[in-house]
Amino acid sequence: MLTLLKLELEKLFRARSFYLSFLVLIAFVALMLWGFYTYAARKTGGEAVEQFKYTYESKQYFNGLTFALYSLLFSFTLLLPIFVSMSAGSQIAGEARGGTLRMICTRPISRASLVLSKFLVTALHAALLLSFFIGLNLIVGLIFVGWGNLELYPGPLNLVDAPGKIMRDDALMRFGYSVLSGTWALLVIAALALLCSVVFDSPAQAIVMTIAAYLTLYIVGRVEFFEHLRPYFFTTDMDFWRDVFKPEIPWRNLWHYACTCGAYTTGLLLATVVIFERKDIVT
Amino acid sequence: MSDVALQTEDLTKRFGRRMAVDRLTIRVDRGDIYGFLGPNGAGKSTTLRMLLGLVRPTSGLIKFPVQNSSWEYLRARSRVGAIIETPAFYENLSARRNLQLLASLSGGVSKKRVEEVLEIVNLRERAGDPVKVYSYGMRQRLGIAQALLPTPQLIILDEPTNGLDPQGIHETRKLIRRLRHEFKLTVLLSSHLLTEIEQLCNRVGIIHEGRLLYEGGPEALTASTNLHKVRVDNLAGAFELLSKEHGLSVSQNGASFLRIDADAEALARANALLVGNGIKVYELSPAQESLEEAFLRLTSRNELN
Repeated sequence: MLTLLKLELEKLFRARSFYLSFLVLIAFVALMLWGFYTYAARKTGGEAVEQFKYTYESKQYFNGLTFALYSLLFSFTLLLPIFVSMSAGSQIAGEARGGTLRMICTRPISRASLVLSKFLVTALHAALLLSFFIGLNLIVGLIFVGWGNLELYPGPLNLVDAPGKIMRDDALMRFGYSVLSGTWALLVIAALALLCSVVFDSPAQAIVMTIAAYLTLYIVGRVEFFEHLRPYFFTTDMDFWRDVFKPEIPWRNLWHYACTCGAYTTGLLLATVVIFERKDIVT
Repeated sequence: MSDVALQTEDLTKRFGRRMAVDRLTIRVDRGDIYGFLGPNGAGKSTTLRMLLGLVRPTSGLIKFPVQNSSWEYLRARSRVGAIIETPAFYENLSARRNLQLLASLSGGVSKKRVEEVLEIVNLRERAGDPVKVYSYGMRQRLGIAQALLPTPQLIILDEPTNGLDPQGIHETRKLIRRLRHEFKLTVLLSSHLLTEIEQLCNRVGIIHEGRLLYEGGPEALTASTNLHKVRVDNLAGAFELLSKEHGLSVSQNGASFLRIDADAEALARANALLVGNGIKVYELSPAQESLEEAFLRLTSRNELN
């Protein structure tokens, strides 16, 4: 198992796509910074819409922490799940397509340990991406926007129902928590992508199917018509990670949904192992 | 120690409604170069994949010499080297690094062994190059190198000369002979090339549509007929004369020979008949059937059945 893990780590760190994912995140942060400046300038120039009515009354609102929070919440909707899907979806299917899977599977190793090592490496990739992204946002926010307390208002982030505030040091701690909660939530996507990677022999197919499933449930979960179905979607449970940014962290709620996500991840991983154990490698 | 390197019993694989391998029973003895012969789609690769654990058999048994449990099966399999179809590697890594990674998964393979196998396949000087710059022939040799990593007792090669140029084919065959003679390996070699099997193998298994049609020495396969060739001065006259004779099966083999399928008695009668009718008989000798002819005879008979 340890040998397999070392092998998977070496492959991860030698892959060009690994570094490319970080470059894309840097580009996204630059884009967010540009958008933050121009949008804020326009809105504070007298064009504030109703949903921002609190926001622009507070001179303290726009600071590096707010910027980091916006950037993180927006990227978590699509960008990070795409990267995790790409990383996990190509793990088995990519090896099958390249022919290296049969080279590995003719060695005296168990298929379950192969799946597990690939999942752990994907989890590490997700944690690194999220840590890097949060760190970069905070640094960029500090340098280009400046720091203060994290003020929260009801609005586009859909985070609080009433205005609230998190003091600067506490807010920094919350970003630290979000690395853990965010990675934990992303593992559901990673496990789903790994399952697709075993079911489909093409990495592109595995990635597309994962993203399609995620987006479909995510979008449907936000449509009023399907409100009654919302609790049954894993995308709804995944949202728990945002709770660390509430003025008072609802720990009980957070643990509940963290466990639900853990159950999803474990179930998907078990299904992956069972299917892969029975799979005929004919590529 | 058992003389058997590998044995299957009623090995069967069904993909949905299609029967890929049908109750296959083969036996590979130690020291054999066993030729597993069959046309494309006969079930060769599926059989080899089952032997290596890549494909789950629908039913039947695979036996390596020491094996009483699934753990022992894994251990026994760890002493089997293999190439299935075109060997694939991590393209950006060097040949040496690829072998080191595969060695780490093979259990108990030292770094020294990596250098040894590179030496055996004559790739040591280019071992630092990334695999993406390797020619097809070099990849094939690297494939053999990875198969040799666990110091195997049995090596399974699936169409190892497929896609190689004549020089590559020659080198690969030389290497396979060397593996047997110098390193005392048992080789299970699948191919659809009859010349390859004829040149390399001491035992042959012929598979067609998933079924084993023949297993044994290639000589026995080709010598088991009553075919004889006859060279005469009047080919057309001799053909007409012998065609009418009961108990003889005559065919014209090119411009200069007749082929007669007959036992010794019938053959003597044919000779007397030709001479008695003034036809000069220059040569009357056993005509050994080529492996290709034997193969076609077996597979066409199977299709008729």
